[in-house]
Amino acid sequence: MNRSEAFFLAPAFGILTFIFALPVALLFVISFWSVKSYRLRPDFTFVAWQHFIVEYGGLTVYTLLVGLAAGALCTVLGFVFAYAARFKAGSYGDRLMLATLITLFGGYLVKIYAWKSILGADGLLNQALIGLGLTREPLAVLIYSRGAVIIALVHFLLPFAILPIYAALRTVTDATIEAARDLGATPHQTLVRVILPQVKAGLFAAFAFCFLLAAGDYVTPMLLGGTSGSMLGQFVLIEFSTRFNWPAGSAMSFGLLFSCLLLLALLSVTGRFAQVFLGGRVK
Amino acid sequence: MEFHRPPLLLLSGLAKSYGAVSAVEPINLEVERGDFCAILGPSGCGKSTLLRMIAGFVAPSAGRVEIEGMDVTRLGPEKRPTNMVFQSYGLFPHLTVAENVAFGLALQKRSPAEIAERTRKALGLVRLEEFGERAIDKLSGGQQQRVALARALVMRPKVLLLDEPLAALDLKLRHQMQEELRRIHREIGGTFIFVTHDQGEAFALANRVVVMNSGRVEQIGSPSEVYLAPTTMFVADFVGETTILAGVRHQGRVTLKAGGSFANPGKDGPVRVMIRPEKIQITNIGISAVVTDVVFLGASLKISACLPSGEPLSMHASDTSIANRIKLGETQQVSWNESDQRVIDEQPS
Repeated sequence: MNRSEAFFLAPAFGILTFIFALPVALLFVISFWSVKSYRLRPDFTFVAWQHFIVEYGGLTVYTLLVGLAAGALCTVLGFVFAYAARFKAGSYGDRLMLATLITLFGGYLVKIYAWKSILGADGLLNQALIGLGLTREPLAVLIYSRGAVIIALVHFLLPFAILPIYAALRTVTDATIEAARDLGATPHQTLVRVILPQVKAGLFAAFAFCFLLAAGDYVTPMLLGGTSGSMLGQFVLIEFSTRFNWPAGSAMSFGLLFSCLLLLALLSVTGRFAQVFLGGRVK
Repeated sequence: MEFHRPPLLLLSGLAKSYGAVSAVEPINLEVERGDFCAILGPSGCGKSTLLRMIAGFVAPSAGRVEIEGMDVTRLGPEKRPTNMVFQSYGLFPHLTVAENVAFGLALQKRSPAEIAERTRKALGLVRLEEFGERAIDKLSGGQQQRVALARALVMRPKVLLLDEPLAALDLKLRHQMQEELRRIHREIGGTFIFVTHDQGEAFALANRVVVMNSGRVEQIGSPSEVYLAPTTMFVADFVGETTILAGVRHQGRVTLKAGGSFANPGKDGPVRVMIRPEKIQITNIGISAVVTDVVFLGASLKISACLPSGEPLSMHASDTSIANRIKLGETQQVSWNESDQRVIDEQPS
């Protein structure tokens, strides 16, 4: 690295070090501290971690499952949308992407409240179902459930999946697709053997993005999850704010973070194995 | 009784129009087994569209495509016994060289032994035996071109289609690949059709040349026919250098604007006379021409001159020793054999 490179890297590196890396490291250290009458005490104890595993182990698994569901749905829907934009929309593809970007300006809370009014007891969906005579009483399961949380998360996160997948699909040239057809590939074989392998990095990025954002969310389950749809983030918030138990909150945050990373690493490895053993590669 | 095999490839009335715009006007063409056929024309003349109609990527607006007597007009490219080498190659970047070549055979569910054997042979044919395990992005442009060729040839297509196959290569590599293509064509005895805008390439490779201009076929013939006996003004002008002189035919005799006349039967009216530069000589008697430029090309001498009618004339003299005698601005007498000229009636436009 020469001097001018160092010069250009320094500001961003400095900002990341001082307002991200150091605080995060400090927070991690705090997870081994203890609390006595609402005061933090430097210590080296695993009480907070024990508390996390015993009290919140189940909720963590559940939170990861919600993240997985949201991530998988976003990746599949995002691929379908990006595929259509790239291959079926012609010159409208880029305009569709602009429209996708604009939805990001819609605001996160606005979307959650929109779903509240759609799924609520006197919401749009229930009224439509009653109007159609499909149900007499409003369905309570629509709102304040895991389903409602996942729907709202997918709605909010979809653009984060579409954009990287579209960017990856733009690098797939028409000539490779025509060549596949010319060599006898059906549309399905072209998709599986030519298009998907070329965009797998984009798909994984899209999934990782949506999965991490979904698993770490606490506002959506707070407003739409009710009691059955709670997620770990909500309890992290409680530990930090009302209970003032920073070590517990810290252990829970890092516990969730490590489980997420572990899960992504596992998926990445399984994906690579699946590719070798199940085809997608032509030997 | 004589048994007529249908031609390998038969195009009858094949045409393509986009709305009111005609891209390819109805074309009739027969290509025989073993032919190396060039579709030659300037960019935008419809030659790529024609090739893509033969491959099945473009649905024709009218007409038929038959391969060995079988109508394939409605079949997609995946069902046609043709394979294509794309201008941008279209190699699969996520697969190795060998996997690229084996792609089509694997789709046909061939046995692993057969796939390995045919892949090895195809790579040998394009002289890339050692490159099977390489990644595509580790190859040079010329090597990628060869992989694309091997990937198409391994399928044993009845017709191999090549879309401007050498356009992306530099001059030296292009000449090398021309030789390679000739050798491969000789070795496998297949039928190749390729599209090019470069007449040198068409002549170097093909035994049949189809010259196209604005969606129409101007002439079909051997390279020497197209070069020495162009049937239209466009062919004469597009294929090689040529001198075109205006004249008028009256009662079976053509009088040139530049001077001189000769017997030539046909209907009265304006005509054009075309002469190739190497057929024109400096002589003692003939048409006077003022020398405007002399270029020494090594093996020959290129002389540009201006005729009394103001028309430019260009000639190649293989005897370079006359260079000293030719001076700029001097008047020389030029002539040519009547058998070397082509007379074309001017189309009323």
